[in-house]
Amino acid sequence: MTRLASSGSGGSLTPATAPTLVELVAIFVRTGALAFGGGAATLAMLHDEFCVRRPLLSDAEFQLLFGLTRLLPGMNLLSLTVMLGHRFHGVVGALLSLLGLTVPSFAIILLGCGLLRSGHTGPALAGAVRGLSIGAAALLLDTGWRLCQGSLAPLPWRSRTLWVTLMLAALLLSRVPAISAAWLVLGGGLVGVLLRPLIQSQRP
Amino acid sequence: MTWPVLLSVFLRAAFLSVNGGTTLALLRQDLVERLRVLSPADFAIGVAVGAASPGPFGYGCIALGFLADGWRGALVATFTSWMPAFLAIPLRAGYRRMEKAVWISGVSWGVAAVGSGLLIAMAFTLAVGALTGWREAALGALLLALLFRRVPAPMVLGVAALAGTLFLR
Repeated sequence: MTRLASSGSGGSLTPATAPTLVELVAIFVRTGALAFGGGAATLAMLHDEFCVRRPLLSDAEFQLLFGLTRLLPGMNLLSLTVMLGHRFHGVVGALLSLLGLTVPSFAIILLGCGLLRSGHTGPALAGAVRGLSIGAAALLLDTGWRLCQGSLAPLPWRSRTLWVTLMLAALLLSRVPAISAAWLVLGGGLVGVLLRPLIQSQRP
Repeated sequence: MTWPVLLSVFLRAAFLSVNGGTTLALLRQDLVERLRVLSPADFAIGVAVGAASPGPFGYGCIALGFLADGWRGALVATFTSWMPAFLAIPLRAGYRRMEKAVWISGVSWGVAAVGSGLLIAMAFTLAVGALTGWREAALGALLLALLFRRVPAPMVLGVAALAGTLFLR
């Protein structure tokens, strides 16, 4: 199966072959084993794997899938994993992707519990965790920047201005505790429908 | 913990949460405050282990399950956390069925813009929590510079962990 997807920077169209089931699971095992730094690092690595290293998805589709996960209960990254797995290999792909993401984390978490309970920790581990949290923030900033670049590149100026305005409004409103992310996503979709005559998007 | 209690605690946390952070907050209510299966110190250990491990932050629930009820708790925590994620399949299918409708391009446009805003908000929250001094800020700037030069994410995280071990202990 061959798909056409834009590159990570939102530039030219490049043909990318869909991953086999083994390759798909390998992506998630790699992410589950290396994405130290929480959800931010995991999200950034998945974007890197699916939109940059091997352009299987356009930035726009990746953003859309991430946006849709905010409508669901539970951990957004697990929903994103299921969506990505299902997109390429159906229910089996979804299940195995989730398994691939989880097994390395599961093993490391249980090992960590054992170590912490036995008192084999020290300032070095605390320092590493602090460094990783900074790394996660940097990764997420970089991913957000690249996603915005990729989304804005193909839009005409009016659509681009409205997109940035809506993005900034969501950023600000997300700081209001009473407004849940799900409502913001639904509101964004509604605003998009209302503004459609002004947007003139070149997207499908 | 009995099977029904174990299942109800982790199912509640999985289906009533909206992200990893709220999953852990709901587990704290049940495991520490209501059932007293874990001490606050145990809870902190579980969250720390989750935060220090690869994968989603909410996977600290696996550590909490293990600390509360051993292997059985860890497995129940894992499988219950997966359950809401499978709602993504009908959601995406429903969305795809409507994809050809004219108005759906407006929805995609709006959802993508809001999704990006939420992502950047999450990045700022993380940055504010992590950048507590000049050394942290310098490390953050270095890591951003590496990312802008397209250094792969795992390598950047390796540098972050090493620098943290050496300079932020």
